[in-house]
Amino acid sequence: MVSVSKIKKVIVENPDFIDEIFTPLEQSYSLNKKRCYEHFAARFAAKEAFVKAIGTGIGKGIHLKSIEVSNDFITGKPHVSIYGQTKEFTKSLGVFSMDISLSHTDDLAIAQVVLLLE
Amino acid sequence: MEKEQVYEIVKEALVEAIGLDEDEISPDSTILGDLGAESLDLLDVLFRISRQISVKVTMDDITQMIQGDIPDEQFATADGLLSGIGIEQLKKSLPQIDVEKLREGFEAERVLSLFTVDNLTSLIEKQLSVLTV
Repeated sequence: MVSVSKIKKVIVENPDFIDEIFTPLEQSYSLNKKRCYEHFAARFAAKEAFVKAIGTGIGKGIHLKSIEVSNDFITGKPHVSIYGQTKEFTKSLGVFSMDISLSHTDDLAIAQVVLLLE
Repeated sequence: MEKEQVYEIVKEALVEAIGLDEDEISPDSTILGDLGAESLDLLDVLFRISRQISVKVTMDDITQMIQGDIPDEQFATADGLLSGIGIEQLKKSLPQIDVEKLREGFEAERVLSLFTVDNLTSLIEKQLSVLTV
């Protein structure tokens, strides 16, 4: 769960934060929304939920930018893609399916990640 | 840069990121425990410090400092508790901890909650000293 006002403060006060944490796709999706910070907060919550689900937390070579949240063009259903070391590590756990759900209000964003293992 | 100067930079970043008063922070304060920071706050702190000292400090640096080169499967038992090897590593990386207490059983995934302001200060001081050699 992530506070929308907190992520707004972090983004506004740290100019490098967006580029370090969010992929270009996530940036363009969120920045094109009227309430962009709600979308950034939801994406951050999803990344955090993902690293908890694989048991590493942030660090240990697992970078938040290597976890990308996108949405289906038509249905809006969120989808998670992973890259680089995160992909290798997740594969080594035997994960064959990844599902996420995102919700947000004015104040809070929450994400759940479900990984299915072989 | 002297350790005291680094500590002041760390303290300022904590004040700005978490919204604490300076007198609420001491070297012994655990960042995620005593100071009530969340992982987003800790990232915020690292971004602020990196900007101040022009050296990038990352979560990878912190986890590497704490766990060293010990693989996860040796650092923790199959039950997810700190192993003997893990505890020996923490004696070196987080020298302030009460090792005997950890031997009673401590979840390895909670290890970051033991990380203090002084530990962060030492990590940054070390990174700066490497750069100036």
